[in-house]
Amino acid sequence: MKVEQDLPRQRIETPQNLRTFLEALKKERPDDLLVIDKPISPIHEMNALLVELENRQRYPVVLYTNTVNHYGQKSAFPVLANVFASRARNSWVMGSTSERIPFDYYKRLQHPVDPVVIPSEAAPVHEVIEQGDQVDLLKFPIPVHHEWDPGPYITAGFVTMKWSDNRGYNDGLHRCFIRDKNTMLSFFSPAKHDWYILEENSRANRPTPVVVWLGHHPGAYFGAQAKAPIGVNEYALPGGFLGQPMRLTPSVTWGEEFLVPADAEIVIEGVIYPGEQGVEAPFGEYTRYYGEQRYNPVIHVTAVTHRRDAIWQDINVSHADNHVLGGFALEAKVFEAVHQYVHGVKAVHLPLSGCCRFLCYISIHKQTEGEGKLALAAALPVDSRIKYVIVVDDDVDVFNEAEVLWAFATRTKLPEDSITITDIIGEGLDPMAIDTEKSSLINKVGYDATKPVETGFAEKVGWPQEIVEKVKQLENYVDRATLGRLPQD
Amino acid sequence: MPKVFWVQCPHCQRKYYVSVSLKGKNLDLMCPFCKQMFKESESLWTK
Repeated sequence: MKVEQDLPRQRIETPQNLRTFLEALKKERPDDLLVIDKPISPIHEMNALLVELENRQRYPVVLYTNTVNHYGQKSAFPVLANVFASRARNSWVMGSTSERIPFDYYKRLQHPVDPVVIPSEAAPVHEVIEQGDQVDLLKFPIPVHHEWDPGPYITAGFVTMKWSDNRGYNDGLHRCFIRDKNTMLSFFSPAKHDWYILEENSRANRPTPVVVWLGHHPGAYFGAQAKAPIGVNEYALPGGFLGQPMRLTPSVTWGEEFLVPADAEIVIEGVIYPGEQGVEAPFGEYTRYYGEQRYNPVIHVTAVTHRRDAIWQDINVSHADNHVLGGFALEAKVFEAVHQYVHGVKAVHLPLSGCCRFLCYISIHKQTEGEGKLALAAALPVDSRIKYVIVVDDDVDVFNEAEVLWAFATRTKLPEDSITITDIIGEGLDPMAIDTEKSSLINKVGYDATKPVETGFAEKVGWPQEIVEKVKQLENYVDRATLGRLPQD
Repeated sequence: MPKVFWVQCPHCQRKYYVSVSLKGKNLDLMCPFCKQMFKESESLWTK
């Protein structure tokens, strides 16, 4: 792994960032961008509106241009949200398709691109630099997402730390509660990489430098949210998705000792002191439940830097914007794990109904008995959040839940076609997890809904292919207006 | 063991829940609705 002094100083003609994404979106998918220029409050209203759109099956990127800050003053900063809410739009960003995302995501992760360093004077994120008493996070129109949330939260910020001994950077998409103008609190799940970094530093009684960066090209988010092994420089992961190295620049607080993304909209630098914790939450989690109030590490902000006309990027946590983004990485991990044992993996889908975490559907081209359960055995341990896996044949569309449940209903005989793992480490935020002193325990169940290969099985009803194609042209039978009036069930 | 216990803010009377790991520790709790601080012993109700 390269350390800072080895990183190349390279010129990139058109650096990818949030603005290049928005320009491409306006040009190629103009209907995907909804600009709300009516006054809107960051307190609950922005996120409630996104949920109302979602309830109507609409998932546009939303730019709020008429906002107020936390002093009740008109804000100079717009808020952008819902960037990741649409699987189709994300696949467009990735140059993939909805079905192929996990495969392409996996491939891109195999090709990290070392970042490059540019001087501070050339870094867009250093157009405005505020340090010490100048720092005021409350000047931003940071959303308060849910009724029980105690205040504004950063939800699209990558909390970045460094391993000691030059083992590279680690970043994670963590919420940050804005306690006041220059302190934040963040939650670090036990046994995750950043938790280990904090533990290491705490044992050595040294402060932990922390950087929170937000507002970047979605490709940077796809790469940065990947779960990489310890020792991988996670600043190298966005490059595989951006098609170019990520540009970094020395931080204001630590200089070249800690580099920050030069093309982000906003960077917040701070320090966590060993053992210092404060009260935080409840907070509306991705599970769609409130997580409980707890004590979490305090981040003392040393500097805030941003573009002059910075856009505050938000993720509508607890809904599709949050779910879909996190789902790809898990789908890629499931594909990677199952593919080692079952070569006929056709598709992997973690649906919105399971928050793109708890439920997983896999289709395989089954060639021999036992492959369905082999796929289950490989998939269930992939991540602590995956609780239920259904494996189906490749004649079932895993993106159509009605089809998956039909296969489950008609191709399983329980309990023989299931496997259960009891009392395995699960996700602490899962409301059904049973907490022990140091971990949260859950049960995992896998269902093999594939047909037997070696014995006869009923055939699905069907029609000749030419008839299926012919009736797809419904307008040849029913005029558009009549079709539009037909009630939907 | 349960993950949470409920408290009721002595200032605004609204209820919410807290990690059971904080139970009995006499730490400051913060009402998410009125932002006032209070101790578990001051909660109007617990469950």
